Amino acid sequence: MLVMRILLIEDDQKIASFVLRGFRESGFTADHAINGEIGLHMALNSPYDAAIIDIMLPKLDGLTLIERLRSNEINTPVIILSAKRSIEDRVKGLQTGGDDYLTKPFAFSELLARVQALIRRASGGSEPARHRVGDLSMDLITREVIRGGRKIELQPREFALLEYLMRNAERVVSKTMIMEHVWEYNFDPMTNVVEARICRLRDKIDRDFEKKLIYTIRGVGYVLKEAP
Amino acid sequence: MFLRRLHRLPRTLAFRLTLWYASIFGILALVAFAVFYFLIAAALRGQTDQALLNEIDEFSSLLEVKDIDAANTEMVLEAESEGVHKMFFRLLTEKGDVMVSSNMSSWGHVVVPKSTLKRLKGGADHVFETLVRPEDGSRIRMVYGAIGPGKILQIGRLLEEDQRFMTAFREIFGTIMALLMVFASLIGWFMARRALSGVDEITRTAQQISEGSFERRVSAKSRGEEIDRLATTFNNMLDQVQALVRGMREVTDNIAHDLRSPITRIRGIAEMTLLSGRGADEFEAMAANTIEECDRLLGMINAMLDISEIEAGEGRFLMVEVDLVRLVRDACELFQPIAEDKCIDLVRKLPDHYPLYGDMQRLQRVIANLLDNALKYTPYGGTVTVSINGDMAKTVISFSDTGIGISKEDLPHIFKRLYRCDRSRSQAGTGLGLSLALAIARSHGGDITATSHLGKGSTFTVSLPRAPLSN
Repeated sequence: MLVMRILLIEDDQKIASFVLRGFRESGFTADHAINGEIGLHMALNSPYDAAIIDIMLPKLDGLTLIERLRSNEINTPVIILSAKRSIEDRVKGLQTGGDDYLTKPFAFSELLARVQALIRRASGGSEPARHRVGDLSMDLITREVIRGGRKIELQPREFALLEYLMRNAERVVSKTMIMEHVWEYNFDPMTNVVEARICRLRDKIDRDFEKKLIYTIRGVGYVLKEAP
Repeated sequence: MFLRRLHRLPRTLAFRLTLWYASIFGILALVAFAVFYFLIAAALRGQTDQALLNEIDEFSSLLEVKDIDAANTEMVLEAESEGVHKMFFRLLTEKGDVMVSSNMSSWGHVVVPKSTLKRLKGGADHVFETLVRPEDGSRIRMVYGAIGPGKILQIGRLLEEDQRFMTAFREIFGTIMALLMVFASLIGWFMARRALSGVDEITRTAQQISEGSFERRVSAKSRGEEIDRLATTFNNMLDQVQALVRGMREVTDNIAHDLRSPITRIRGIAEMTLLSGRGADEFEAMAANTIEECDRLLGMINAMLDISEIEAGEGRFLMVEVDLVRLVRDACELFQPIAEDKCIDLVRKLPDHYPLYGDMQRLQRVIANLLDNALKYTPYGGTVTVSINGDMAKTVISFSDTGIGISKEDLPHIFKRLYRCDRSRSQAGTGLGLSLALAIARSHGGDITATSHLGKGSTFTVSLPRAPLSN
C-alpha cells in the first residue's frame, strides 16, 4: 500500500504537533501549514490524499480556502476542524466543499478514522464481503461469525458492534464512534453502556481462546487486533 | 436643569395631553359662541324688522283715512320723538322722487337704488335693506313699503344700540373665553399630570434599578386601572428577571463547582505522577485518567450548550415522522446489559408502532436520559417499566422504577441544571440529564413531570403533543 500524504492547516502549534505525530505514527506522511495562505499554496501545488483544515485561520480563513481549492478543481477530501458545534456551522462547512466536519476538542482516534474513511471513499474502494482478523472471520452475507472453526452466535447489535470493530481492525475506535455507528446515537449518553456491551462481546469472542483480540485502551477506546 | 426641562416640555405626554384638552375645549366653546352670537343677531334683526313693518302698516292705515300732510306731520313727530339722527321717514313716488319726509339732515347720503324700485313695482310688498354709513361705519336698517297706489314709504333706523349690544357681548365673551382657556389648560395639565404620575413613578423605579437597586418595586396604589396594570406588569417582570438572574447565578456557581472537582482530580493525579511516577504504567494510567476526566468535562459543557441552545430555540430541529416504539425499543436494548448486571427487570409495555413527529436525535436523548436515570437509582433486583400511551391529543411515555425515590424537598428542583440531591451526588452523571430532557420535551411543545415516593420509587412522565408543531 502506498504511503498516504495528508496536509494539516492549523495555526495552533500544540494541536498541530499532536495531530502530526499521530498521523506519522499511523504511517502517514503529514505536512503542516500554519496559516491559510501557506496552506492554500501547498494544497494547490502538491497532491494530497486528504487535507485537515481549521476554520479560524490567520491570513485566509478555512472556508474561503476550501472555496478556492474547489474553484481550482482540487478535489482532495477535506475534513473541517472547528470550535463551533452548531448544526448551521456544520451545514455551512459541508456546503462550502468540506467532506467532513469535526468539532474541537476531538479524539485523535476519531480524526484518524474519519480521514481513513474519506480516503477510502475517494479512492472508490468497494466494501468487502468478509472481514478476517487472525482466526476470527465474519461473513457479511451469511452473517456467520467463526473463530477457530467454531461458530459464534451473536445478537444483531453485537454483530454490528463486532463488524464495526473488524472493519476498523488495528485502529482504535472511541466510545462515541461506537455509539454513533452501531446505535446511531449522535451523543454520548455518559454511561457505561459501551463498556457493558464490549464486555459481553468479549465473553463470546475472547473468553474461550487463549489469544485475545479485543483490547481496551483506557480513556481512548477499543481496538480489535491480532496480538503480536 | 430647569431650562433643559423647559426645553423638553413640548415633547412630554402631559404637555401634549394638555394642549389637546385645551384645544378641544376652546374649539367647542368657540363654536357654541358663534352659534349663540348669530342666533342673537338674527333675533335682534327680526325684532327691528318687525317694528319697521309695524310702522309701514300704521302709515298705510293713516293714509287711507287722512291726507299726505297729516301723514307728514306724524312722520316728523315720530322721528323727533325717536331722535332725528336715529330714524327717518320718507314718502316716495313710484319713481323714487321724494314727496314728503321727516328731518333728513342726518341722512343726506341715503339714495334710493333703482333695483329696489323695480322689485316693488314687480309686486313685492316691502323690501329690506342694510346700509353702512361711510362716515362712522354704523349700520342703518331700512324698509321700503308700498302703501297705496304710487306711494312708497321708506323708513330708516340706525342700528346703533343693537351694535353696541353685540360689541359688548363679544367683549364679555372674549374675556370669559380667555379665562376659561387658562382654566381649561390648568385643569388639563393637572389631570394629565395626575394620570401620568404612575408612569413617572415607574420611570423613577426603573432608573433606580438600572443604577443597581434591584430590590426596588413600584408601590401598589390605585391610580386607575391602566396605570395599575402597568405597575403590576412591571413588578412581575422585575420578579421574573430577578428569579432568572438568581437562577443563572446558581447555575454559574454549580458549574464552577462541577468544573473545579474534575480539574482538581486531573491536576492532582498529574502532579503525583510527575513527583513519584516510577514506570510507564503509571504515566499511562495518568494519561487515561486525564482523557476520561476531560471527556466528562466536555460532555458537561456540551450538555450545557445544548440546553441553552434548545431553550433559546436556536439550532435546527429536524422534525420528521419517527416511530417512537422503535426509539424506546432501541434504547431498552442499549441499556439491557446494564439492567441485567443489576438484575433489574426492564419491563416494556409498548404498542407495535407509534408514529410521532419529532426530532429523532433529541427524542433519543430524552429516552436514553430517563432510562439511564431510572436504572441508575434502582437497586439490585428492582423493576423499571417503560410504557407508551396516547390519545388523539397527546402521547405519554412513562418511566417507572422501584428505586430510592426522591424526597419532597428535592422533587421541585430536580429539573434544575446541575441540581443534585445528596443521594445522587455519589452517582456518576452530569446533573444535566433531566434539564436537557425537559428542555427537549418543551421544545417539542411537551413537558416532563415527576412523581415519587421516597424509598418506593419514582415515575417520570413525558408528554408530547400528537399534532406536528407548526414551526
